[in-house]
Amino acid sequence: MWTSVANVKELERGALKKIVMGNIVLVVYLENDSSALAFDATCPHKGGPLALGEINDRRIRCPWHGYEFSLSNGLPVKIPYDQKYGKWRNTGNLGVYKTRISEGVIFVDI
Amino acid sequence: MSKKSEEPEIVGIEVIRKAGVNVEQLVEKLVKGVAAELTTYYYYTILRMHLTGLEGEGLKEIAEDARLEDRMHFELMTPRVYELGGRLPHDIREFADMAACPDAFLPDDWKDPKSILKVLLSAEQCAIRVWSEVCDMTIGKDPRTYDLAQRIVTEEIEHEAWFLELLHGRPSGHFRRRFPGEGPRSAK
Repeated sequence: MWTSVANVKELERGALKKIVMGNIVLVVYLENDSSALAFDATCPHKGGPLALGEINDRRIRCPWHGYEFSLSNGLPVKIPYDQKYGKWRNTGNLGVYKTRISEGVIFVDI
Repeated sequence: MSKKSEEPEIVGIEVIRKAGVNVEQLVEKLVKGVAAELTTYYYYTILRMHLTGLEGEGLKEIAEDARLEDRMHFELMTPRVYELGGRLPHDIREFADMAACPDAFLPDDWKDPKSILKVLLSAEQCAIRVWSEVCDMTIGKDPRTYDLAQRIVTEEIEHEAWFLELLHGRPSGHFRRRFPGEGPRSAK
């Protein structure tokens, strides 16, 4: 279901904005006036706050443990801990959402 | 009598839910946080044992304070998990694997005390991030959890300052505890 989450004018380009809609908490990132990314606000590894993370090359880096997830498909692309850490290093995939911008409004398919 | 009518009213949960706290998410974060405190306590025991030699001897006491206070943080917040209707995993292996911070393993070059201090510092910094997040989730909504989390994060910030001073000579602004594991903010 396409849901409006923010106006383009409200968002600073390159900044991460946390959006709370009931029990759904998302982060929205405005790439440019016609493209935005949206993903779960909580890191699937240990629950770090991704709104405080960093985006580079369509990857989000979690501020807690440095895990990186693709914002194209949600898969982990960097796990900074080796096998010594056992099951602790396991992670799920990040929830990513389709977005579209129409007349200055960002919509997310939730 | 239906099952639902047998469930007691829990005002302590109801009010924070109405204030906007996602209780299930908060409980999950608290369990991961207390798991990190307990695993850190365990690993600090090993780290402290390996602070050897003339230089290490002086560091043992500081590591011991941080170690004991991390255990107190576990003790302080764990009852809150149960108050909120959560629980700890019944298998300690599962508990350790869900910890919010990585294992503070003994470094290979442990004979250099600085390598141990780096592990200690990293663990404290992780804990600061975790409990700060809990404070953010609860401020103005859940005074009890906020109170406990801010007490913990206050001590974790002190620990970070101690280790920064020892590693980098940056004044910590703190003097020693009055006795090992004093926990000025977390003692019950």
